[in-house]
Formats: sequence, structure tokens, C-alpha cells
Amino acid sequence: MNKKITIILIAFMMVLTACSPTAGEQGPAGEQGPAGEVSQEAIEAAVEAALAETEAEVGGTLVIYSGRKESLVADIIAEFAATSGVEVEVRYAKSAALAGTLSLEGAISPADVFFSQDPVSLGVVAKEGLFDRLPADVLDNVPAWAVDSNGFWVGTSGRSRSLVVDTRDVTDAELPGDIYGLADEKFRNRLGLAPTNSSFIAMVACMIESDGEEKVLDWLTTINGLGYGEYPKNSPQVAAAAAGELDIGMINHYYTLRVLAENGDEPIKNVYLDGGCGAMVMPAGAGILSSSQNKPAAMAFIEFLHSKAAQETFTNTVYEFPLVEGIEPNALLPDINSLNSPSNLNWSALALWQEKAVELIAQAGY
Amino acid sequence: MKIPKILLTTNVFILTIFLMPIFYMFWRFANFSRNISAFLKSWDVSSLLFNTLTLFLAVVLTSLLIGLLVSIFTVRYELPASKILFSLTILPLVIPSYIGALTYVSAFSPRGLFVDIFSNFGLNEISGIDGFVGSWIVLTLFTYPYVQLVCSSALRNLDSTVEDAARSLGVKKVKMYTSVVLPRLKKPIIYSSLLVGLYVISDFGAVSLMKYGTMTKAIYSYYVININGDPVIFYSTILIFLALIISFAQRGSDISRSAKVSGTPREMEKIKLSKKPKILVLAFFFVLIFFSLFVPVSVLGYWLFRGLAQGNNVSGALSGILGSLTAATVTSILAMVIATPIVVMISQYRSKFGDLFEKVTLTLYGLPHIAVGISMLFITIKIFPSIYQTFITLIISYLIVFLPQAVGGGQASMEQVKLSYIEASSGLGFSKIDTFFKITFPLIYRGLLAGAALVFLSTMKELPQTLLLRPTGFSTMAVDIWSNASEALFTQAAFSAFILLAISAFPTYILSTRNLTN
Repeated sequence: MNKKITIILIAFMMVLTACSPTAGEQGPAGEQGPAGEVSQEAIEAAVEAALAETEAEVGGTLVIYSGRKESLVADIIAEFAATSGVEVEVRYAKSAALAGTLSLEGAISPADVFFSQDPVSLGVVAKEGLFDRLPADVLDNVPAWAVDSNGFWVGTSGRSRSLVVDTRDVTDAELPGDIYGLADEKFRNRLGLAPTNSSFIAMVACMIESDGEEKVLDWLTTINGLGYGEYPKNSPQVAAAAAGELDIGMINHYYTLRVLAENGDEPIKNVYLDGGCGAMVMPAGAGILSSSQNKPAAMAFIEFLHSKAAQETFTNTVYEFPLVEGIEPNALLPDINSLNSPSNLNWSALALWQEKAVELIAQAGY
Repeated sequence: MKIPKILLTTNVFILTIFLMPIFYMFWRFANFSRNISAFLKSWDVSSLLFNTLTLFLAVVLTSLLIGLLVSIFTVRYELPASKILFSLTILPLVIPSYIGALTYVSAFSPRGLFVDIFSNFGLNEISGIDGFVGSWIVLTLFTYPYVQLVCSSALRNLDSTVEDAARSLGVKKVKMYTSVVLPRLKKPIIYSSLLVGLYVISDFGAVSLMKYGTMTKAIYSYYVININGDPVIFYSTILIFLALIISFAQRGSDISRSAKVSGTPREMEKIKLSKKPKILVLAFFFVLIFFSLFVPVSVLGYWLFRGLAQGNNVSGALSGILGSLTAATVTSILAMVIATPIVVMISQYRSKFGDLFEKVTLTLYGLPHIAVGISMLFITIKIFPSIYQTFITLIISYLIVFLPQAVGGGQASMEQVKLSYIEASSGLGFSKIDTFFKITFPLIYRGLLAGAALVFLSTMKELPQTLLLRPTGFSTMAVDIWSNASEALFTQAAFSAFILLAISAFPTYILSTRNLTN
């Protein structure tokens, strides 16, 4: 009898020990469109170059909280892991959710790096005082608009708000110059948006900062009253526009470009507004947590994101704007200087409005 | 007989740990930072509550209707291949709502697979299925087997002499069922509707994919935006409260215990159908099996073969498969171990305390997973940071919601263990522990195993808790399906889904047909 129990116990222990998580090795392969023109060697060379720059020895384990999708960044992260010898574990979730998780975790956070889709989520973590300041040479890799004013995080690529329009049903002439123009009777039941998407929330935060709560609530309520298609995120809006279900979707620019890169005949296009928060250009970026146990590896990772190989991947496979000088933007992208993003946006100020933005969105009945 | 102290302490200790998520959420709610009435006004509470309850009622009604029809046809009527029909209609049980919803959203989207097929027949204008209607259809298709399971076995045990008598008196068929059969199936009907109801209010996958605003969807949306915010606490508390009310309605009237109906089952002659009604009944089965089994499985198959033909790689699914199997194995073994002292206490030492304990334990089953997951997240960060994001936390949170299945299994077989056996054993000078291993355990382990099998199946397909609590880098098939599908990587999603269904189908088939022979 005792023998049996012992056997069961041993079996149980074996199961327990067998299940320590194996991490950082599950980049899904394939299915994400053209792989860009970045060669394996180029990435490896870039990692080595980046590593050579950091004097400190890198190694150990690096935990990345990534608000950027697995299908977009898994390959880059795997390359970093392979060439640096750092064992990387990645937790993928929405940027805002990870920012909330980091604020809740505080000092006990297992994360070393927060890699976010949008500046507002980064600002939330910065506001809680959870980031280390980054050295000036890292901040100087990218233009000043894509950097936190306190130096807590740095941009890694750029993305613009845009409208995806179904070219069969929408004429250029009927489109407004700014986002407030969408609150118009002629757009009844023709609009789409993703109320929980971090970038949409960031846009609403920008609107509150520049135009005040009342005007924003008014706009949200009117749009809701006009009837809108609710989407969990941006990519299904592009699919819906291509399928003819949706006339105008409020998205980030690269979702449309990804579809067009695969099939140039799809009857959709991006419209970049003439100004205001609907034309905002935001950085995706990363910061190092103060509680990190492996700061050298965290720094090497951020520098790697600024390497030529990583920047080229961002622009050629994700269709974002590269931020490091000397990188050729993908041909599908408009000239970043032709976009009318509000100047002097203060990302930490927007972060302060994030919660209010969420509240207004709920209050307007979304 | 008095409950031994060791047994009592162990069980109370276990239950206290398991109730922590409820207590914690209620405590947070009590310390709410905001004025509740302002909250009720500014957030869309009433419409979310209304949506949740409407869906609850609609799905319960249609599931009951379909489940009862299937039960009556397979148990009372002579149909060709009726055993096969019974198994095929049970099988949708293995399809988690998020897989069902995913395939439906895709199949019936304006460019979906089925629209392509139907357009050959001139049906061009099919709008996508979503919102209330989509959630209603999908949840009905994958929950009616609960009604079928409970009601068909009850019907089988129901003495049919009354029906025969009614029939010989010339009572019409429909009238006979409404006035003779259904009233006697009242308890199993209530029991299974509440089972379906609990599933509906806790469902997260289907309503999210169908974009229908219920409480669970609100919790997840707000969690994504601000995890520590008041709305998450508020809606989680309300949802837990709702689940508790339903659970107590179910357990309170002792319906579960007497879901077995009285009467002596006897081999009854099945009713023969003439040609026309037989064709109608078979058509009903065909339509049902087509939508609840064929549609989801063929959509998955289509994705998989299309993807493989395009050369997509599915090797990434391996870690999720291993993760699911590991988590499910560990959880089911532990559930069996933990359930044993609870089963012994509540069935062998009947007492008021034991009854209460039983009710509270079984109540855990209905807890909405997303609320338990969020509560566990808070508890581990704030109180037990050393087990935060570890496998241990994930397993504990699985055990909290799935333990009742193991307890239920053990309880069923515990009825064979007579107190007199135990008294005889102690009379012969055996110690309590010896008695347990020589008499009690051998008699109940089959029931516990069946319960553990259920825990295994449930753990394997669990989604919201896994999403919230898994260790970084650890994934399961459910997580892979969810995240791959949300990135439109359908080949990988379909592959994991196929493996999940294949692993679940066989044990589900065995477990459900046990009812046939018993």
C-alpha cells in the first residue's frame, strides 16, 4: 500500500518538474505576408554590433512584456536571443493591459523590458516611476518627438492614425479634414472603430488634452448615436472595409498597407487627415524597468531594436516608419514629413488622460 | 458519528483557500473608491445586465427545447442507428464556445466559406452572424448536450407505464409529453437549465468573438484598459454574485441530488414511427448535427488543409499541446487527491455542517472563470508575490473551479460505501487509515477517476484563467487557438483546435455513454 502511494508521489513530482515553462522559443512561423528583405546575416551582424557597443557582459534571462504582436516581433526577438546568448521570455498581451499589470506589480514585476505599441501605455508606466532613465546616446538614436521628455523610454518605430476607406463607397470629397468632421449625419452607419484599442484610446487622450473633455464626450456620443461598427481591434476593420461591410474605419496606417502589400487590387486605401489628433503620428517604444534584474541585457535589447536590421524589419514587414536615420522607409509609406501630426505632443501629458479617455468612452455608451 | 478532527481541519483549510477569490473580490468591492450610485449612472450597468440576462434566458430555452427533443427521440422512439445519433449529438460538448464562435464568425462572414457555397444556390445576401443572435445560436449549439445528458438518463429511468396507459387512452402525443412526461422530468429540467445558465453567464469566448456586450466581455475590455480600475472590480463582483444566486437556486432545493427521478426502469418497447414522421425526425437530427458538429469541424479542416497546402508551419503548436496535457494531468491528479477527504466527510459523516460544506464546494463550479482569474491575479501580486505568474497559481485557480467535478464523481460512488463496513473494520481492530485504504478508497476510486477525467477535459480547454495567470512563456492549446486566431493565423489555430477536439472526443464519448448502460 505504501509502495503505491510512493509511486504516485514520485510520478507527481516528475510531472511537476517536467512542466517548468519553456520559453521564448515559440515564434510562429509563416503566414504573415512577405518576410521583407532583411537577411539572417544582416540581423546577426547588427546584434553583434549592438552587443559590441555595450561594454557590459550580457547573458542570463531577459523577460520582455510585449504589447507588440507575436507575429510581428517574435522573429526579431528570436534573433536577438540567438546571437546575444540571452535567454528571452516574452509575455504577449495588449500594451494597455501590460501597462496596467506593470503598475499593479510595481517592484515585484518579473519584467525587464516593456515593449509597447503606443506612447500612452509607456507614459502610464513612466508616471508610476517604474522605468529607469535611458542614457542620452540611446535617446539620440531617434528624433526628439519619439522620445519621452524625461528620458524614461525611447521610440522604436512610428505609426500614424489614419482612416481606412472602402474606395467603392467613399469619395475623397465627402471626407472631413479632421476627426471631428466624422460626427456628421452623412456618416450614419458607415463608421467603424475599436473602442478598446490602445491607439484609439491614445487618440482620445490626445483629443482631451487639446480640445477638452466636453468636446470629446460630445464627439463620442454623436458617433455612438450615428451607429458604428464595433471591432476588437484594427485589422478586422481593414478586412471589413475590403469586404464591403464598412465604409470608414478609424485605424493605424500600417494595417491597410499590410493588406495592400499582399493584394494591391483590394478596393481600400488609407486617408491621412489634415490635422488634429486624427492625424497623430505616435512612436511604438520601449523602456527598462527599475526593478529589472538584468539591465545589461535589457539595454542590449533596446539598442538592438535601433539596429539597421530591426529598423528595416519594422518598415518592410510591418510597414511602420523607421525612426533611426539612414533607414529607407518602405515604398508603400507616405513621406512622414507630409503628415500633419499635431506638433509638440507631450506623451506624458497624454498618459495622464488615459484613464479619463477610457471613462469618457464608456460614458458615451461604447 | 463525529467527524474526525484531522478530516475537518484539512477540509476547512482547503475550502478557505478555495474561497479566497470570492472573499477578496467582495472585500475590494466593500472598499470601493467610487460612489456606487454615480457609477451605476455613468457606466452602462443596466444594459450589460440586461444583455447578460436576455442571453441567459434565450440560450436556456432553446437548449432545453433541443436537448429534450433529442432525449425523447433517442430514448423513446425506434430510429435507425439511434446509438450513433445519440453520440453524435452529445459530441458538440467537446467544442469550447470560443472555437465554435470562431468557426461561425468565419463561416458566415460575408466572404466566409459557407457563403461561397450558398452563393452557388443564389443566396448572395448573407450578412455576418454576430451580436445577440450569433451568441445565442453558438451557445445553444454547444450547450444543449448538457440537457441531453441529464434528461436522457432521467427519461431512461422514468417508468413508462404511465405513458403507455396515457397512450392507450388515446391521449395525443404532444399532449402526453406536456402533461405526463415533462412534469415528471421537472427536476432534471431545472437542473440542466441552470447548468446551461451558469455556462452562459460565465462564457467569455463566444460573446467576445460575437461582439455582444455582456458582463464577461465588459470585464475583459476594462481589464485590458485598466486592470486595477473600479469597473473590473465592480463587474466581477456582480457576476460572482449572479453565479452564486443561480448556484444556490440549483443546489438549494436539493434538485441536484434528486435529479434522478423515481420509478423502476424497465426494458420498454420503443415506439415505432411511420414513414413521414420518421423522415421529419431524421431531418431534425441531420440539421442539428450539421450545425453543431459538421460546420465547426469542417471550417477547422478547411483552414488546416488550406494552410498546410500553402506550406504554413504548425510545429509551434507543440509547446501548447504539451502545456495543456501537463496542466490537465497535474490538475486532475490533485483534484482527485483533494476531493477524497471532502467526499469522505460529506458522504460518510452526514451532518448539517457536511451538507453546508457540500453546497459551498459545489457552488465553486459555477464561478465565472474570468472573475476568479482576476481575483487570483490580485491576490498573488498583493499577498503572495512569490507564486505570482507561476504554474502553482495556475493550477490552484483551475482546482478552485474544477474541484466540484471531482467531488461529484467521488460522491456518486461513495453511496456504495456503507457506514457498517467501516464500523466492522474498526471493530476488527483496523486503524482509520487502514480502513480508508482497504475499504473506502477501493470502493470510490472509480468514481473519483471519472471525476478526474472530467477535470482533465475541463482544464484542457479552459481559456480566461489561463490567459490571465499562466507563467510567461507557458502556453496551452486554448491560449494558442485564441491568440493565433486573433492574429488571423488560422492554420495554427485550426491545428491546435483539432488536437484539442481529438483528445477530448474519446473520453467524452466514454463518459457520456456510461449513462446508457447504467
